[in-house]
Amino acid sequence: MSVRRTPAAPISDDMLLAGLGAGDAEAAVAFVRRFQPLVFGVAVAVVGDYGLAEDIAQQAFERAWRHAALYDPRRGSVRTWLTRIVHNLAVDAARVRRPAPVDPQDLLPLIAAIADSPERRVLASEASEQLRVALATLPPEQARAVVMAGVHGLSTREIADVEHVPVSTAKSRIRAAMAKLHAALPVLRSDHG
Amino acid sequence: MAELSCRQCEELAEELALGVLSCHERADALAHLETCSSCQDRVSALTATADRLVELLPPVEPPAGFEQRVINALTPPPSPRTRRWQLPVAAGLAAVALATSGWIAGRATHNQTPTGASPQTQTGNDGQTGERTILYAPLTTAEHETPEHQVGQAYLYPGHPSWIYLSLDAPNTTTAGTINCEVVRRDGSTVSVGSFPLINGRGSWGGPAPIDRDTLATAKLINRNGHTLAKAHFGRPRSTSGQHSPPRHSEHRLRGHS
Ligand SMILES: [Zn+2]
Repeated sequence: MSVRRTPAAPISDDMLLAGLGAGDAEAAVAFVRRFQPLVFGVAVAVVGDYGLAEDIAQQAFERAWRHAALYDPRRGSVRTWLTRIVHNLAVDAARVRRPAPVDPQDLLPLIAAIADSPERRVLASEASEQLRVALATLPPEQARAVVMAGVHGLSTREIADVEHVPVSTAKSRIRAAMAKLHAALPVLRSDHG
Repeated sequence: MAELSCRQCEELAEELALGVLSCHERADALAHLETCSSCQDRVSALTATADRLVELLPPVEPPAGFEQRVINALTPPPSPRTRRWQLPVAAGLAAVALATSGWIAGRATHNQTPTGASPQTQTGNDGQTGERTILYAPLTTAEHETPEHQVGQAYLYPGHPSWIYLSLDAPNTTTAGTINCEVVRRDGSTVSVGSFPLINGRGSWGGPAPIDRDTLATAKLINRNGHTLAKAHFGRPRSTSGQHSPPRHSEHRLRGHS
């Protein structure tokens, strides 16, 4: 335990969220500045369109603001909570826009970017690094399957269709990929990394 | 609705965690999880993995103008009471100072003799627009223990809107469950401002709280049984504090580091 008598650390994500939820304009500014690359990055990766991604990212911040009081630290960090909000919105928006299904070949740059995004390294936790390595070493068809499902929100049937494989094959790719990614993570702690 | 066996549920666990099951399958799986803690554990572990995967997506700076639009959307319409925090103040000096490297709670001013003058600052003073004061007091265990044992921190922002943030880190406590946070005013009246879970002695909470600098006395954390777990005393405001004793709390100037 390290409680300092003279706090000098930057304000935590939790504390900024509290200020945001209370309607504090300065906390709102700081919150948006801190998280906008994350929120916009998720939206763009899922919907692939800057204009739509902007709308989604804005909705995500508005939702975070309205629902700040519902944030439950037991269920993950503020970063995880906010990521879930924007991801759900983006996947819903992408579903409405389909059919313009994901082309599996278009996923290669995205998979490469997830597996290696140096600008995040500075802040990355050990767990994130291990997950990156695990994704990079998956067989390509498993990596595509887990990204199509986990990032783009495609169902197993949709993945089977775009990959021209039986549903059972798509399903086993997803399950195998998740098993490997999960095994790569250290025992989950309730850390905020 | 079909009742699933554990084995059937396991086959759906990954897709459930990834959020891509059909409505029917999802409902069936969730119904099974209601009754089966081992499947529940499995799904929550897989969900955490799926969450992390999304968090690994590369960050992208949004186009110019995005930030301002979002901030406008999050900033309540002007009113006399909140006017002070409206843009452009928030988007100008203060915003730059706060957002680039996060807020920094400035130097503590423990035991500073109340002078009525504004507390010292280390850098160029931006005045009202660039800095603001947040109140800090250590959360300590009940007063009969000497010396008081610090178990956390309390921050209060007595502006418009006012809000509070508390964090407790007391691994030796036997208390678990929900902790209530109360603010006690100088006249003895108490306002319950919120609650949060304590897990292994740790927890934190923040939210809006009706705090007036002039009437605020104490923030208290109360457990289920009504027992006070910890409290943070805030002294009288500088301008009105007499010469009784040095304030135990401190006022922090929040400002940016560059
Ligand atoms: Zn089961």
